[in-house]
Amino acid sequence: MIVLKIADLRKSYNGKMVLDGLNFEIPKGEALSIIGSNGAGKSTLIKCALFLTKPDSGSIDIFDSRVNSMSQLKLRKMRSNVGVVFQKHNLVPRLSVLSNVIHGSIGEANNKSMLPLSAIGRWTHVTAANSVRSKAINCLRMVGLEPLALNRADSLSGGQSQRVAIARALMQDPELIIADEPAASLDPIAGQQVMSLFFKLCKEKKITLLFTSHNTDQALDYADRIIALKNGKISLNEETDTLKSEDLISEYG
Amino acid sequence: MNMDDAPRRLPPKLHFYILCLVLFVLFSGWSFSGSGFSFSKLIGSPEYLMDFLRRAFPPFSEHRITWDAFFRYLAALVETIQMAFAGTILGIIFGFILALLASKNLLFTSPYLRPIQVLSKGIIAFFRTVPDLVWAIIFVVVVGLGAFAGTLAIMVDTIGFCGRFFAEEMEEVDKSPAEALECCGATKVDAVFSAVIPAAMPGFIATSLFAFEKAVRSSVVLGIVGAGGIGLQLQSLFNFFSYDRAMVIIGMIFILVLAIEQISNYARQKIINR
Repeated sequence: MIVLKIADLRKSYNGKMVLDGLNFEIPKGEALSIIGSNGAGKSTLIKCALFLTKPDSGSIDIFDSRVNSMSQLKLRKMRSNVGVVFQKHNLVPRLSVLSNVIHGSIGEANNKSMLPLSAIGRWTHVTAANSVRSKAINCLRMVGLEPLALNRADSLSGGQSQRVAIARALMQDPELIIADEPAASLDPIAGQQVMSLFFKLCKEKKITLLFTSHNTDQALDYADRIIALKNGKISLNEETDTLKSEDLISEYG
Repeated sequence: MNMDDAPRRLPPKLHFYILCLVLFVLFSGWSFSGSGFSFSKLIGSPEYLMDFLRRAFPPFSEHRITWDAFFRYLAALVETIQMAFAGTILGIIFGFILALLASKNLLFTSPYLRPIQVLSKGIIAFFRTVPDLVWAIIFVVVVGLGAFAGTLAIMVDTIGFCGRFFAEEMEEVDKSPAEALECCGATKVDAVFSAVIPAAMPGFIATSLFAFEKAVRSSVVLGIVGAGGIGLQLQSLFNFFSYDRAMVIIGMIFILVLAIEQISNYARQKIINR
């Protein structure tokens, strides 16, 4: 089964072609890494996949439904099944860790009911139902931060923040997680720890993973397949077992 | 080294700055002449000043103040605080709602709904630019003399003040956490309430405390136009030349405003450092 399918995707900014006809797909359970130098189009590709940016042409299908032609309602529904981890963890600073994790389940509450404000109880952990809170605690336990549940999000270190963001994504019970350079803002040690935890959890839960990275070793270690972008085109698309570090370094030339 | 390489000493548009300075000096002189500013009037008639001071000090002396009168002033002072507080609370609530509607890039981003945002901003600007004393005069006409008119005037003034600053605080908050939530299925309203408002909260509280301080100061004078509070007493004492009693009231106002400012400063420090 194909989770994400991208066909002939094109996007240009101010007349400069950033994505120039991309074609690839991700089967269920695969971890795919996108590499490429700055400006190769990685972030634009992620933004298009999340439909934060409208592509000029081409199509994006997630779970067999076309993202480009979705209504706001359907887009929200689709998004609630896709976890997103950003380079800058994007937690709400003044709220508790637990509240931030519970935010991951707002989409689910909106799916259950058509009424407006149906997720009102999940704005903070104080008003959330017991079942939601214990699920969030469970997600925090998976990333090893259960003891910090009631600490404020802005009191955490970078690595801890990124782990909370991962817990928030797990809270969605996602089938697909899209991560935009998840380790780029962390120091090498924390980056290594967070990434290995992240990939272990995704494998355990059979979550399909699409992530961009600057770290070719990490891509080789954790991805099943690597796609390299160069000037908006795919210049390499291979299984990791057949690849060596030198092959990837040359993609940056 | 060639002198041409040295960094320039004077700004490039020097003549423009000099023109601005000349205009500023001319405008200042023109304004002072228009305001009838006169040193001779201020210090040249010592008998009026001495008369005022003799009647005003010591407070209580000329007509011995009774406890009865003192408690009347105290009751008026309490009414002043009540007006200020009730008006501020109402103003914060309605100001918050208007600020939600009026903030750019918050709820009404689609071109069809933009007019609502622009209209809300306009209402806030209108409430803010008309002075509170003018609102008080209008409400005295509408609901009659008394504290209710003053409360409404303070409410409208606070809506203008809080609406503007609440909206600015929400516009300045880092929007990426809110976008992250929208990326995982939250609605715009969810994202605003769970990501934007918590981040803007310290600003909201600081603004609300300033609004209350401002309301206390303005509720003191609203009585002059008959909108309740201690201003009415103050004005009638001045009309009857009872400057000594007026001094008592001015002292009470001074203590009240100072106390409110100290308390709100303390609370603001606590919140900002948290």
